[in-house]
Amino acid sequence: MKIETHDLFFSYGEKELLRGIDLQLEPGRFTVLLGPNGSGKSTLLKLLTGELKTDSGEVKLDGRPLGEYRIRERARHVGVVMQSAPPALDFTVREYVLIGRNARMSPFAPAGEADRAAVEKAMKLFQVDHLADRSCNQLSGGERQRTMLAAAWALEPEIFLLDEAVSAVDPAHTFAVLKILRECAKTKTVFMIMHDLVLAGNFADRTLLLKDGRIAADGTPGEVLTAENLLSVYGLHVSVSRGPNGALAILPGKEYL
Amino acid sequence: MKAAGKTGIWLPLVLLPVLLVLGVCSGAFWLSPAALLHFGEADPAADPVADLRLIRMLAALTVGGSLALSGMVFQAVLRNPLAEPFILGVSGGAGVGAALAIVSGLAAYSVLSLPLGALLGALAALAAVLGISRWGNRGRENLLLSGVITGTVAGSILMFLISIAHTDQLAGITWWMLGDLQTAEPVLLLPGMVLLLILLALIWFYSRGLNALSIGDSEAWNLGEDTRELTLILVTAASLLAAYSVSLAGIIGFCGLIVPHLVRRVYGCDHRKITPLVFLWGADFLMFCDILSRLPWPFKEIPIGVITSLLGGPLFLWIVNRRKRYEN
Repeated sequence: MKIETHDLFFSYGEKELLRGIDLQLEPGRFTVLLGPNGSGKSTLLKLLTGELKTDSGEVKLDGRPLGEYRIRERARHVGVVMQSAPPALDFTVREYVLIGRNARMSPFAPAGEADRAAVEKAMKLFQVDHLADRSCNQLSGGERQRTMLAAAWALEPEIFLLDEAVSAVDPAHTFAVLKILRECAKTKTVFMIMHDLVLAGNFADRTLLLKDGRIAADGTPGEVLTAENLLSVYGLHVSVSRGPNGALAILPGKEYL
Repeated sequence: MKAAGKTGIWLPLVLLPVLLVLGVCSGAFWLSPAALLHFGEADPAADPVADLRLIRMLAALTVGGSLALSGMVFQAVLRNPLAEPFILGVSGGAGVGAALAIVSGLAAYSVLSLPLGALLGALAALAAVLGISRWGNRGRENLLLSGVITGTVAGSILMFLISIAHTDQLAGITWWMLGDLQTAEPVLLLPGMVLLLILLALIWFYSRGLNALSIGDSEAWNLGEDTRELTLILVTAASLLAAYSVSLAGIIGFCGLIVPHLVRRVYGCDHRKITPLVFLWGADFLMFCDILSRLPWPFKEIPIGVITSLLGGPLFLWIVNRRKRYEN
């Protein structure tokens, strides 16, 4: 299922945050969005979920304007992980992951066999099954993010929108999660915001750079994550090279060392 | 501990009629169940006493279930495990509304002006609390503070109303501040029970939304809830429950805090599962407290609000400390 924006504008009060975003997200490529703090990445994601309304331009889900969808119907197709605070109540990991499936469950029936199975599968996949009965408030940041990913996964959506969903996850689990997402992106739409250039460079099929409310670069990591682009978008001095196994290496420039 | 989840529903359910009968039998003097059913010697004094006690126990059931549900909803929607109609000042606002109905003389025309006044007072207090704490992400910590402020202001308005009330209205207002089931208006009891059952069904229907909302507004939207509409529905339901309780039994504190908290500890946090449990345990809890309050103490009886506050105060402190430990 495709999600796309046409000439999207959005401002918070006086500040014009997004200025003419044209974006097509479709199955087949794992897309990662990068950009400086406050460049509007999370805002763009909230426009894609419909939580924020565009000033002009529109968001289309599967070719239909997002506004035409019923809230629940849209939620069934789109799994979201945001940068959330820990839940106020003591949900266990299993309870939390089940909530991720809300949009698929009827208010009149208890969780069914399919719901339970999806929850167990998702917990296993993101390696939080051993924490299933633990309170979400007792998890580390990375464990909590994996739990949130499992919750989105349990929904079995067509589209994943993920906002810094691995920022606190340790490297081993990060690699595992990104591998899962890249694999998943072959058949589903996966869109992720992150800050780590090296991870984006090596796991994404497509990278986008957001600057001053516009998409400054769009293409494969090799095309987008160049020293020139990173200098103009972040004001960052780096050297970009390839490692012996072809992996993209982005190293701090001599200015910082 | 979670094993209680499977069998747990039966325990509070069975306790309900047990406590009801026990409550009718016990008091300043014991009425044996046999005497109530007119086995053996009939005691002419027994029936009216039993009727009074029955009304009182039904009021305890209704008010306990209502306050516990109300607390549960406030805690989830406001994302604060310490939220509760009493602590939020909502009960205080309802008390002022009901007292106004008495002082203005409206209550003399129709007893229904009591719950109506209580509801308006409760909603006004809630609006004040949310206004003071400026609803938003930052506001949640301030919520309790603004609740305390609103509750205190409501308390002083209540004092003022007492000072200007006619002597014949005085007794009616004073008991509002203590929380007392004795004077529960029988005319209001049946509508209260019906209202409670309707709102219980409504809250249960939205229980998955309540789960989502307790995680966050944005998260609830992503999970498929119309955040604003759902919040409005649930907060109104919780305020209605609190307001009706106040119009029945005055301000009874902490019931809405103790019951949902203990239920969550034993059964987990999934509202789909715990909504009926919170209702049942709330009803059981307040009936139990009422039986306690009517035991033949050497000094008259203890107002029920005093008992719930004596139990609830320490628990409140304990939860605060536990949360502090989480945050560190």
